[in-house]
Amino acid sequence: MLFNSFEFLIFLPTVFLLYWFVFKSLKWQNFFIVVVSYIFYGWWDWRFLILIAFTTIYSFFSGLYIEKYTDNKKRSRWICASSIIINLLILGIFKYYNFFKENLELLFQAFGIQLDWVTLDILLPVGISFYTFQALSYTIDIYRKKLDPTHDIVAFFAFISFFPQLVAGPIERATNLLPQFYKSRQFDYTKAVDGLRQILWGLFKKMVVADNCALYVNRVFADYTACDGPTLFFGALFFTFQIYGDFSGYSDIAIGTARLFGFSLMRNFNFPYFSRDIAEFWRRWHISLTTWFRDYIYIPLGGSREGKWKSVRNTFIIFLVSGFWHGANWTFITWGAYHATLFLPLLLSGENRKYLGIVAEGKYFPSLKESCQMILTFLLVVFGWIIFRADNVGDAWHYIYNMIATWQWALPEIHKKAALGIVILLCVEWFQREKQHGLQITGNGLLRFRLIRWALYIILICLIIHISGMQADFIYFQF
Amino acid sequence: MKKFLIRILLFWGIFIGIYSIFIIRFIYLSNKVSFEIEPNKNILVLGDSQGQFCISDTIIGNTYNLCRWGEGYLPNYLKLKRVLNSPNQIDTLLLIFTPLKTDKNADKTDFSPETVNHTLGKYYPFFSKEEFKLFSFPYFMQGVLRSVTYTDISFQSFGSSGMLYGNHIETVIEKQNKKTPDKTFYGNKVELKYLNKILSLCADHNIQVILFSPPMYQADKFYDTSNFYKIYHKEYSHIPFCDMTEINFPDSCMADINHLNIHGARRISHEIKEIGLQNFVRKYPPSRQSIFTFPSATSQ
Repeated sequence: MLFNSFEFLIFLPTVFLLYWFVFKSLKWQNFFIVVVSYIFYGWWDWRFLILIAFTTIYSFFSGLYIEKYTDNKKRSRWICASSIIINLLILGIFKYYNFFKENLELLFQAFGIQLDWVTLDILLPVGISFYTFQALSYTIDIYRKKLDPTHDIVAFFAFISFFPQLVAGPIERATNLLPQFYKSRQFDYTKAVDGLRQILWGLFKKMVVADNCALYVNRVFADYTACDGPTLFFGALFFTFQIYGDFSGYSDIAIGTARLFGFSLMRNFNFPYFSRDIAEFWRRWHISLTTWFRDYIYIPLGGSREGKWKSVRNTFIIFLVSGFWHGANWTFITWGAYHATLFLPLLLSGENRKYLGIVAEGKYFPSLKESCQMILTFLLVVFGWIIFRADNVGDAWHYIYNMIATWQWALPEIHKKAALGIVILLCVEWFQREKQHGLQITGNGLLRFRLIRWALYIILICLIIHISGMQADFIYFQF
Repeated sequence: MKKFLIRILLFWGIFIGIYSIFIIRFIYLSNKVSFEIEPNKNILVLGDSQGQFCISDTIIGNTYNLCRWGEGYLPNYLKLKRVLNSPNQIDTLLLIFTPLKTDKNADKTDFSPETVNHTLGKYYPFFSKEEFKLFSFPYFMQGVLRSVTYTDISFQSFGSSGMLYGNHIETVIEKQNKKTPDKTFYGNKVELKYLNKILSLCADHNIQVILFSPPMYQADKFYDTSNFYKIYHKEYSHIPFCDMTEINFPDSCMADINHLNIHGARRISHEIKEIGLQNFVRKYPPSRQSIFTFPSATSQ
């Protein structure tokens, strides 16, 4: 079920009313969450419910056994490892099997050996990378004694399958989300209203910005050899906003929906396109995944504390793994390597934590230096997205080459609705950059009047109705 | 919670209230449009862009061209109903009938997401129960919600003759070759059903129908012409058919592979004006005669 679909428009209020008025006790509420989450997920393909149920049960019992053999380190390590292996194996088969198979065949072919493995026609289960990582973090945290395993299987099922963030994150840590299933939840008016605002802003980003940009981007990337430099540049530029509108829009809807049910999910985006360097960009982009890799790969590998070479190695590893997490294609790995290359100079010069605050804090506009830094970082990110979006690495290089080779100083024909959406997005998010999301209202200025606020909501809803692009799946579902 | 629900209901109440006013206004204005045709016009032209950019009603004085780009037989049927319920002297309907209209995926014109804006949203005020049933509720709502932004609700906005300039055959072919084919299958049942409804409506009003297929560029190459002739001979051979599908028309008269440009439109319109519609129809009989027995014409 898509957040921007008619089904969800019926689903959400129904679930909301039943949740608060019918299933009032904690146990029943958790049970209800599991049922509706499975309906939500099964809407795509009910067969994948078996997979998510298996992952949940395996991780749940792994947690219990790690606790049981807590004094036997070797055994608990094996249990933890088996859980990691099983989960990654499922992910590997469903997401990466054909990639490895094709590349191994090519490799062996180079040595004159013909491999004839079976190509599996596998459907990629929606959001498999998200819930697998969530399950992994649970098992690892128990093994590291950061978390006590839960004995409440319903709460654990609800934690893994919680429908707002099930298919595209934020990837929640058990330490943050699981305890919320133990405590009785009270309806909070302020949180619920803010949640609705966040949902509205997320829908705007998805339906007005991302879906309109997609129309232009799909055309340009499908036919890039026939486009001139400026058109190719705008194709990449629009994809930059498409992927942001799509993914951060989903996160906003997820976080807002969770708030309606009394849950707090972690922030996933912090206005990344206003970053002053690549390190800051990565602190603001897909925060839940970046911090996951930091906590479960980078730091265990030694982080940046064991000398320069190990820092370089570890940085490359997490960027490559991060790229590979997005999909079984060399484009994603190259995209990871590209960002690692941009990040390394900052890390080696010790400047990777230079910009921890908000750009131009307390001011309306950035300084000239800040503007230049933001534009440069943004352009580097745009180039990265070309690699990410292209069908293969060769196409990415050709795209960039054509863009430069056929450059001319002329404004190409652009998609006006997409451009309007981007302008609104940038303006709103710039002035809201100190807040949690684009539509967080603190009650100052004109917005303290309900009439003005409601007029604003109505304008946004009308924009969504009238200038939204064609309904499309969220890009990150495929990851 | 109570406060939250009351405010939500109030907000949506106000929103739906305001929106309904605009929707009602749109329905009211659409229904107020007069479809009266001047008494000196006795030939009505209906169809899509192929008719719109082919028959010039300023050259042929006794015709009125109500064709509009992207419109299938469904909206044309609704327009015809309106015209026939208004004062008119129409005795002949020149109906565009081309391989595009009988294509196995012809219903795309009515149901593809692209048409929500310009067909569904524009014509729902004219729908009867039967038409409402054709569209799913969410799809229908999209059309209704978006319709409030239509600013032009005049008679002309429902169709008029027009002219295309230049020759873009090569560009269009190039684009067509690169285009990723749409995998959705829509069938052609609805289009053919509404073609039949147009024919019966005309029969009820004693209006002679003439099917007309304007010239196309290498029709055989780009369209399923054999299915087109099969359907014609099986279902509509009793209706006069002016068939220029496979006429060797000069490229300089084509705007693209299935539209005439200003030169082509002028040439045909002047010819009709000079020799008269009936002679024109006789001059271009169906280019392929029936030689087979046909198993099934429609597909869904």
